[in-house]
Amino acid sequence: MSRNGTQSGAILVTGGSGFLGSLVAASALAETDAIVVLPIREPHTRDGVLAPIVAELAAEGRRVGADDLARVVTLPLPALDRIEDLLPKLRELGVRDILHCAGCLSYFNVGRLQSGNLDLTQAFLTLGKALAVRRFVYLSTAYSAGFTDQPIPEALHQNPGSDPTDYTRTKRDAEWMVAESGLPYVIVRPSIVIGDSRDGRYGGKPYGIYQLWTAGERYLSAGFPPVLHVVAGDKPVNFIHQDAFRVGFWAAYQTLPDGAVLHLASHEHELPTMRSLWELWLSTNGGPREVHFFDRLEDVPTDGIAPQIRMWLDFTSVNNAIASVRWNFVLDGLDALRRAGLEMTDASLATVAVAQHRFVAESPKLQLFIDRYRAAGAVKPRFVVRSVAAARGVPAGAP
Amino acid sequence: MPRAGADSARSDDPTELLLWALMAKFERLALERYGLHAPGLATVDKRRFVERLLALGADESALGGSALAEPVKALLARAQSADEVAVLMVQGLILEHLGQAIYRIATATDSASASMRELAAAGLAASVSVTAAASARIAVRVGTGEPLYAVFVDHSHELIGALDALAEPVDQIFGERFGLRFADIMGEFVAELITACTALGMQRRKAVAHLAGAAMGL
Repeated sequence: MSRNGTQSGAILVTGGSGFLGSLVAASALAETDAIVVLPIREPHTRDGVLAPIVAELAAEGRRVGADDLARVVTLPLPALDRIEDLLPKLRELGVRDILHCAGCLSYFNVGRLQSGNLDLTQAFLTLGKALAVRRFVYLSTAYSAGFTDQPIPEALHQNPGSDPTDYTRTKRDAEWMVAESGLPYVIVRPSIVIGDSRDGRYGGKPYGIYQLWTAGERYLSAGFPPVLHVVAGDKPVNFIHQDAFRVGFWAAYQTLPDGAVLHLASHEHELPTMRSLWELWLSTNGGPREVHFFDRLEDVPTDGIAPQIRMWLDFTSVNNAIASVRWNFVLDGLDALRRAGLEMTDASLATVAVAQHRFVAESPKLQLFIDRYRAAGAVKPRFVVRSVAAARGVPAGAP
Repeated sequence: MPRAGADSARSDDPTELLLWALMAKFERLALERYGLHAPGLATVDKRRFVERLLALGADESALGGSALAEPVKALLARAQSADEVAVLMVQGLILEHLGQAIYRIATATDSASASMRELAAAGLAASVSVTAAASARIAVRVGTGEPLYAVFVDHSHELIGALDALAEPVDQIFGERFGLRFADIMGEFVAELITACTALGMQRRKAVAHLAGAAMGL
């Protein structure tokens, strides 16, 4: 998107101390001349919040000068029952748009999810109404639909039969809150955000595929059993690279009509499956002699499995359950933006490999393991798909 | 040869003594907290075991000068429980199960001395006596199921998050000497803690998801 210096007023970005909020704040700095307002809570500091924003822009080759940083106004975020204390300052700054990227990503902590996803959203909607903002953009998740075997529309969802987590439920409830607020809104629903498609850089916490990689780094890099049991389905797993997230979010904010809902996700045809992701990881970085793939944790024979392997299976089980079903996101809105000139890279096994390479390169523990693995002359693992019946005795792919 | 009685656990192996100095810090704190806020958890077995540990006279300065010092300090700072509920969750449920994981592995470690294995077995038995009492008291004092899950999450998140800093020093010091590796300890610990949580009515997948997030600093 081109730099837009013609609009007046300030842009308020919530969640600036978090990963996606900092990417949006970086876009706001890079694409506009507006004041960028970042409400932050202790223990976050202005310098701490600015650092990843500056780093993101620097990685793109953009110089961030003192005049740019002077456009960032950080404000202490008060307790939610005193949120309106912010109003005088926000009015003085002329806040015209709110990009609400803050949220709680805990899967099941209902108290924190209520506070971080619902109460906080309500508080910023209240501010938005008091400021009569021109646009309220809500950063949701593509998984707010809950489990469904139907195409997932770019529209508000009714309650599904079941949700992967309480997180997805609260994001869906917050979408309704935004839609019923009376404010001119846009809802952006990214799928699973991973590192930049070009250099793999990633500024987020270990969510999504990073949770699997981090668990592998921490609990498997001391060594493998001869046969490793892995829960990994054969459905495409929808990732979106952080560079694609940035341009897609910004395009949605700038160009979509009021009331729009956008799935910010990759097209399905080149997406990897969990099995292909594990083949990529274990073939590249070293692994056991054999890898047995199971569709569900319940199918894995637990007898004789070392406790740390069992823990690794447990720790990755919620994400594996989400990845075990096909999520058929409708992408009409994104396709329209692309036809209008939006350029973004869909995730594929090759682009995920870029992110994986970066993750491994930045892990001394994994580097050590790989060196040992290669020095031992180990061969690539043999991959075996095991059905539920096979889990009772005979591997389906066994000779 | 080790002597009989309390001194039978004495070993001159500096790495073994370092392990007992480490365990003594947490065991002493636990017994102190039980005495202040949850006297039912100060079982006879636990008191006897702590007496044995302290009688070893393990040199704490060695611990203070090791790579374990800072992460242990950070973990202890998160374990200063100030009321009964905190003691029940932090010491009675979480740290006791962590101790059990360590003792269980140490008991089965061939490269450890017989005295170390015997003392670890005593530590395990003492800890089991506490967790049995703690589970019963938790059900009465806090409840079970969802209400307990919320309390468990609040009391365990930072504590479990602080464990990760122990990974490298534990592997360096105890992994090479005894094969007592952080991943093995965490595997045992998480398995036992999940079992305890589900026995108290928490949903397994919620407990697992919370522990995964806490362990990875999410």
